[in-house]
Amino acid sequence: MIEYLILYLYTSLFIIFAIAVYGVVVKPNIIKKIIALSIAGDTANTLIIFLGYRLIEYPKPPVLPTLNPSRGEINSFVKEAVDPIPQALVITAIVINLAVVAFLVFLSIQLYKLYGTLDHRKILVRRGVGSEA
Amino acid sequence: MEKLLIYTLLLTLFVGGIVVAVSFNVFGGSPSGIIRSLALFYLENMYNVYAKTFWAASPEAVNAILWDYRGLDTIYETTVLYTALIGCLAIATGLEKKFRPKEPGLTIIVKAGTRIVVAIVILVSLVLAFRGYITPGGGFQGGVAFAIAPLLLIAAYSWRRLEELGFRLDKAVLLRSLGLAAIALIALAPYMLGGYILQNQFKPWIVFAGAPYTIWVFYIGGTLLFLNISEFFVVSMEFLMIFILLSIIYVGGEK
Amino acid sequence: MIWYSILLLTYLFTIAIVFTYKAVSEKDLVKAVVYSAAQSIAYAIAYGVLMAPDILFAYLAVGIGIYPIIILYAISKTRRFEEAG
Repeated sequence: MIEYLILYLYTSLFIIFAIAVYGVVVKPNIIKKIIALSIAGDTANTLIIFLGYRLIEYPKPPVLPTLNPSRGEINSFVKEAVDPIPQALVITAIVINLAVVAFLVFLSIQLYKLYGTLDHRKILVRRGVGSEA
Repeated sequence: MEKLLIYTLLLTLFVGGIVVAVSFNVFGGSPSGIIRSLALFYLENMYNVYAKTFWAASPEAVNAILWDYRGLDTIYETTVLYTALIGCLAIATGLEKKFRPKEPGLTIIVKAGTRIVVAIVILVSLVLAFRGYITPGGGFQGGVAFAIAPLLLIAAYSWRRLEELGFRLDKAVLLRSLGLAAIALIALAPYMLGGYILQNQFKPWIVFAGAPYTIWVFYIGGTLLFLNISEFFVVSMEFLMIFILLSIIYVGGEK
Repeated sequence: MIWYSILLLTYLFTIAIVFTYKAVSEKDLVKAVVYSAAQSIAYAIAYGVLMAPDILFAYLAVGIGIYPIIILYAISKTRRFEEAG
């Protein structure tokens, strides 16, 4: 029974990712695209963390509780702790998503200064590329 | 025609997602009772005081991986954040600046409340950064938590008040470069002493004796503490710089 | 029981779907930012449930702190509403 719930978790993450990509691709406003992009990035991070989860009774965070653990404590820790590698990679992913979003924000301000609008279609028109659809 | 292209893209993405979701679940389901053997290596060796060949002097797996086992990864991640914010700085210098007159700020109650909250935010960020190698936290988490404090000051008082307190743009950029130089120094120090870059603890096949993991009675986890502190300075000053830039740049009126 | 964490996750991810849809479909950009911050809260709690305290602290300050504020700064410098047509 629990497999169906886990299947639902995967599909809900992919639904969120699909909505976010829809927002990036279809929505004309640049700020809306940035918001959708940050949601898409966070969804991918959540999927990676979910893959690293450990499906046992009481999973532990990957942190040893004591500074001088006994041999037995280390063994039980290894048996109960969650996978730390996705977490280490997701911190790097969060930092890089943050760098991208911060840079996009400054670019959108520059775009507004040059074209006076943040609507993607109007910018194309003002650049003489798009048609006045 | 364009609409068709977009909707087919989304349809394929949606169906592909469902297919991948089902396949994840059919092949033994990814979150299961056992984790990958690579993770077992890290969990086993990161703070194994009984077999110290591969240990990382930090009971916290994520920090051990970030700064010791995959230290170069974090160095490059910091350079990505650095270059992105250099780009922001470059764009901001092109825009006109408008130094608004001294605003009165919000009411006394809000100011008093903000003072308390800012003190707590700074305390929490210091704990996250300085104990990041023992309890969950770390340089980046502490720095980002610290970045919220000037925002509250900007909201309650005004940007001017922040400047009187000493949060100025050039000081932020200077402190950030100092932090980055410190990270580079800590990374290169073991290399100069015969070990490899970002080496933390003694490795039997390398001559470098490894950074001390306890000073007197304090447990400092080799180079992890100093890397976390300098990362804390780098990240907090970076976001201070961003917020100061964002609050003073000014884009012309309606075109 | 194993169920508690999985059930809590289904609840959190459904909230995330609802807030994502509202964030993408909202015309008023400030509301869209608030919806995306709410969706970040759901993810932050999910990180807590998934036993990832490091990511929880990093993502709380980033997802609910930094993203909304720099995007709100961008909105304050440009236009608040999505232009129609």
